[in-house]
Amino acid sequence: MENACVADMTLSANYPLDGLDELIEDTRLSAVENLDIVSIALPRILGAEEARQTRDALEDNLKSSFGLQLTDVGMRSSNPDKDSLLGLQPGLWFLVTGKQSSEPARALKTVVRDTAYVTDQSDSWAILDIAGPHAQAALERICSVDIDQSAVDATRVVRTSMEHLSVILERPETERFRLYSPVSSARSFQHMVSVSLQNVV
Amino acid sequence: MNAPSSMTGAGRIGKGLLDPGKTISFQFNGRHYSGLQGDTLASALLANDQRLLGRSFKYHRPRGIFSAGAEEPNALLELGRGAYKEPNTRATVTELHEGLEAHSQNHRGPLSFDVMAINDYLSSFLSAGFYYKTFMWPKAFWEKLYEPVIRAAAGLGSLSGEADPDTYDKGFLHTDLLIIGAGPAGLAAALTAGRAGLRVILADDDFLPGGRLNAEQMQVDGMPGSQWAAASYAELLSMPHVRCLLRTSVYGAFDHGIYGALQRCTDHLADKTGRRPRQILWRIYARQTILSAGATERSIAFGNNDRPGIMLAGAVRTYLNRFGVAPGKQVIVFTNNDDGWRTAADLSRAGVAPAAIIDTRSIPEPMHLPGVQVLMGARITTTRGRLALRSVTLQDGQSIPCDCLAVSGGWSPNVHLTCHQRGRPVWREDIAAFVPGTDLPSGMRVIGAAGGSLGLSASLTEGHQAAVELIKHAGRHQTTSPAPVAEQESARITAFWQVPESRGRAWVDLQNDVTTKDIALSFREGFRSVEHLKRYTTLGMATDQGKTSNVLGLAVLAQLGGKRIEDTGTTIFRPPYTPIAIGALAGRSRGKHFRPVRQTPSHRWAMENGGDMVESGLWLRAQWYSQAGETHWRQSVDREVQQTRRTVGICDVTTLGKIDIQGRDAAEFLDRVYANTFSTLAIGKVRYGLMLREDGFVMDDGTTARLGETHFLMTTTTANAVSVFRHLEFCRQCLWPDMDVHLISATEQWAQYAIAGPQSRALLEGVVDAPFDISNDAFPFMACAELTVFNGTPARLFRISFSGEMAYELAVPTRYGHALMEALMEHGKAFDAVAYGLEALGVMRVEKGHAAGNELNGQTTAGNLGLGRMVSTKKDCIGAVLSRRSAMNASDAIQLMGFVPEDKSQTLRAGAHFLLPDAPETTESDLGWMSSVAYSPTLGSHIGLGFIRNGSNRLGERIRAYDPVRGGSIFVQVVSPHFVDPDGERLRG
Amino acid sequence: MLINHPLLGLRDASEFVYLGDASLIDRPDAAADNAAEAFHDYLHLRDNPAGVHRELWYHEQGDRSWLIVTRNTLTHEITDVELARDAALRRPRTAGDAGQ
Repeated sequence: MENACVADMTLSANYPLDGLDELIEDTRLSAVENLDIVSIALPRILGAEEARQTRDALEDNLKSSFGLQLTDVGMRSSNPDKDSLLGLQPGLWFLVTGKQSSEPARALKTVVRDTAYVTDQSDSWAILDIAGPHAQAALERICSVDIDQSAVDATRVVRTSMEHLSVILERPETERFRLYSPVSSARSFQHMVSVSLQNVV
Repeated sequence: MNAPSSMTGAGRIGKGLLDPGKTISFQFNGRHYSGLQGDTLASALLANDQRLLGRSFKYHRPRGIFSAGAEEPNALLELGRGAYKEPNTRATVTELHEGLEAHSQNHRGPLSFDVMAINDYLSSFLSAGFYYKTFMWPKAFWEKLYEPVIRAAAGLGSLSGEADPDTYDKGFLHTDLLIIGAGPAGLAAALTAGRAGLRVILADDDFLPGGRLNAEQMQVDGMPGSQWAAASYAELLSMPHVRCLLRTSVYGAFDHGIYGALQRCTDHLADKTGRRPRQILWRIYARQTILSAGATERSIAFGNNDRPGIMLAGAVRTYLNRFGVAPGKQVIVFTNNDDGWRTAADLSRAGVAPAAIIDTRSIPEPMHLPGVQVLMGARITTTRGRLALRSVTLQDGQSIPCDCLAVSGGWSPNVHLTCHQRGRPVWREDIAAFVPGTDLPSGMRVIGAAGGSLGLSASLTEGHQAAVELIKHAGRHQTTSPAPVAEQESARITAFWQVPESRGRAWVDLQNDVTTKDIALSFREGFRSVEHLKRYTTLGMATDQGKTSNVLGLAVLAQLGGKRIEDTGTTIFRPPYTPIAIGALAGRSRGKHFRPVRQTPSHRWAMENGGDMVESGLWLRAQWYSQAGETHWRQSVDREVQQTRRTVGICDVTTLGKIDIQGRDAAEFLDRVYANTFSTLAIGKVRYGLMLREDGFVMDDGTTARLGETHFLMTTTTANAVSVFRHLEFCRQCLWPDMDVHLISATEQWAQYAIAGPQSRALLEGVVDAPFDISNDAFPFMACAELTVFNGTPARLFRISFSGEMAYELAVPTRYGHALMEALMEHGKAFDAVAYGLEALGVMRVEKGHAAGNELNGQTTAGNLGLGRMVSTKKDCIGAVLSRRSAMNASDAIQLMGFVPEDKSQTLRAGAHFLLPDAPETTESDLGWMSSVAYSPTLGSHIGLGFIRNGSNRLGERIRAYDPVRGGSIFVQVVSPHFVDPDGERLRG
Repeated sequence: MLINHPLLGLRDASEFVYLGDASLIDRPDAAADNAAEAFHDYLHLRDNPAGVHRELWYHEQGDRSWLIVTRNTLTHEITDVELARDAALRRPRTAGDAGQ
């Protein structure tokens, strides 16, 4: 039998935030559990012209499949389907997409082929949305980076540490922030965000 | 004026800026009083004619209110009760609220008859440095007698001894412009900057914005100053890009425009039980900063200048104008400057005719005050009145009765924050004060009184002008609104520090009971540097940090040395500017918030199945799984080890660091960072790797799998996951920037379980999906594959062993980790599978002789670990060159060996040192140490791993394991470190 | 302190990990005759000046870049920040560089 084993069992998925959806006064905390995250690394080529060609080839692949542009570090691009590309390191991006696959890296590899190295990160991060009028004030309690609308809008992505944890922050809408924190400590982080919110509402 | 005196005390002669309709009841020393909304505890007590508020630090002298602000040295009270009790709180900045309870402190017996006041009569024995001189002998008395007595007598308030019940928070703010101080200068700056659209933070200690405008009778833009302040503040509140932080002390200036600020959120509320934090500690990142913190008045040293009723002249105006309280009925002003005269003028205007004005200067009267006795060129030599001031005596012997003395020795700009980055203030003779130097913290400018411009008009103009310059600097559109207008008052001063004819002690520092005599004594004994003076006399220490006393103390010292003040120097100001509760510094980092917890994928399963959890870094891991009937952890661990070696055991090893490495040069990169070679590793194979530091010592170890031509997966130890990643990034970016190598952490991505024991393959054959073949031929020791398990879940399987058994590690995406643990245990029932924890893992690795953290301690070489042959001599790698140093390859170097106790019933201890049986217990005889021990249920005795000189030549030798710390030594035998299956037949089976 | 990251702007120093003297990027040639001595000097003889210093900082809680920060150790004034990789690429090429 193809792809079957002796044990008559299948494995079901569990998420650390377990479908969290909490309204604290007028601001909502919710877990996002239906996105794939894959890192994309641009091959390093010596020579300016060859390097530019390599980058263009990767960008062409991402544009044709996702309509997403390669961004500089700290910048974010997105498409109408709400897929986004986050520039996190020189030559490294995260693709965040709702088009889920059982093996996201393998799926993306068929798109980028040899124009990039890909690694599945979907299970590495727990995603927490905080949305509402008190979202920014709550995050000011734990985020040392300036997240005012004048500094962080939908075109930006910030990677920093909050409460000793490595966190990626984006602001897809004025009153909505999306926070990616390591999956093993996601409950600690969610607790810290909850307390921040309770302290400001 | 409508004086609600019947409600809030006889001292209340007007309403000031308060609302007479809102009375507040509070308690002081158990008695009930009334005050008004907007009062401070000090103003309410003064209104109720309460002058005596406490006892001084050393001499237990009666003390009252001295100031009207943060500089208060005297009026320190205990607030609240039980766990909420807070000692040493300044009554002058405590906002009155319903139900406030305050107690005086530092007295035994009633406040009016403190038995410790005996110290006042012993003052000649309690001079500066009395500690060091008096309690020298006999030596044995210090610990038994002197110290307990001194400890009982020292200090001011007392703590509750209970945990702080309040919550605290912290936060981060960013701004174009931070304005410190919402007085006239700060408000003018904030208005101009805010109107131009700059992001502004305006912070002030007070709960009412306006600073001295609320304490004076001056006009701004044709309206009362307090009214202008209120209107300006209201406009600022309406601007979304301006954040106003009242009740907020900016306590420190740090590098690069970073400021610390403490916001008090609930201290002023009657109901403190809400969930809001009591205080917030802000870190403010400011591109530019305006310091408009004003100035602090100081006193003059004369005999008995510390009695209740003696206060700063500016404070008298504050109580009069802001709070509608007359601090006395017969008030005398004693001044060396024109500003003091305004106190007399305001008193006259309020109907409290001053009894006299005494000016140290022999100049024409600066203003005409009808009906007031004026004494120019006069000095106060002493005062009378035990619990409250009754009279003052002048240099000519004349005595004038009074119940309040308003003293002004001049104003000292609040330069503190300008000095937190080692800036040094400079002396300005014309105002007899230190002003900020040129070496300010980056991005800071100082305006108004803080900068030495002691006048309202100048403050307003400077505030406006500073903001205009910053707007220009920021490239913003200019507004055309003009600077607010006010008259410029006179602030002429002739420095006058101490009355030479003083009779009795003349206080310099009220809080620390430091008098001019103490300074003179210190000087005579050779403590002539201002820093020495401070430490010898304690001048300028404690909660007020000498805000009213530093300059006076310095001036007295300068006079003693015949030097100018600017040549005498100042002490260094350090944060915090005002006291901060320890709880606020801790913020929310208490208990559960102290640090985050990392949970493994099997965490829930462990909690449901007797898992006993232990912290391993941030991770929580199961040490063992207790079963019914097991009463000691060893029973659980022994069972787990035995069952794993008999059938199959399952252990969560997710915490190992995993680094995904890709690139055309990935193989070459691994050759350079590992001591052994990886470019020869075949796809689908795993190899053990040893990583050195550049100094040649071992840094970390782990296995690395080759998943593809350009794709590797490295594992690190749990403890070094972060530091190895950092090191690899350093190598990649800084050493070999040409390489095509990419690193990303996969630690969190995969839930990984070790499946070990003779039945491990049989168990896995039932869970690995067809058509994957994991028979020994198809999937031998050190093989790896990407496959699927349990009918379709993607997985990675590695045939590696830490236990010495036939073993695998199986990884699935983390979301399936919990289900995998459950499924493996369920499917494993048929194989008598057991879950094992960290402790059994450790026992089995000691039995197998694998090095772990205790052996990879940063001081051991590959040779020490018995892995010397792994360091390739054919290639360069990190650490290769220095690992070849002769001393690191000495023939008698320590080697990792196994140890068993001679008497099998004995317990081994890690940390014991090895000695020859008859060798003395000296460092010279030391042969090495025991690094790891365990009870081996397999061997039925304790076993140990350790490092011993020339170990491989000592097999069978009898050695003493000496443990002086925990006592005793036992004899052990040196054996092979591989206690179980030394030839590796099991893991290849 | 704030470090002016060349790609991300001002970031709090708490996001960074400090290593030390920037000369650590100049790893000696292991094949040279005096390799042992050169490595000894490289590893153990580093400058620690009171004043202007070029030092390595790693943006661990950020973009994972190693930076060379020119900082006055007395005043903490930072006058220059660049990616360590850019500085490393300016070096004369040696036998240790990747053959691609």
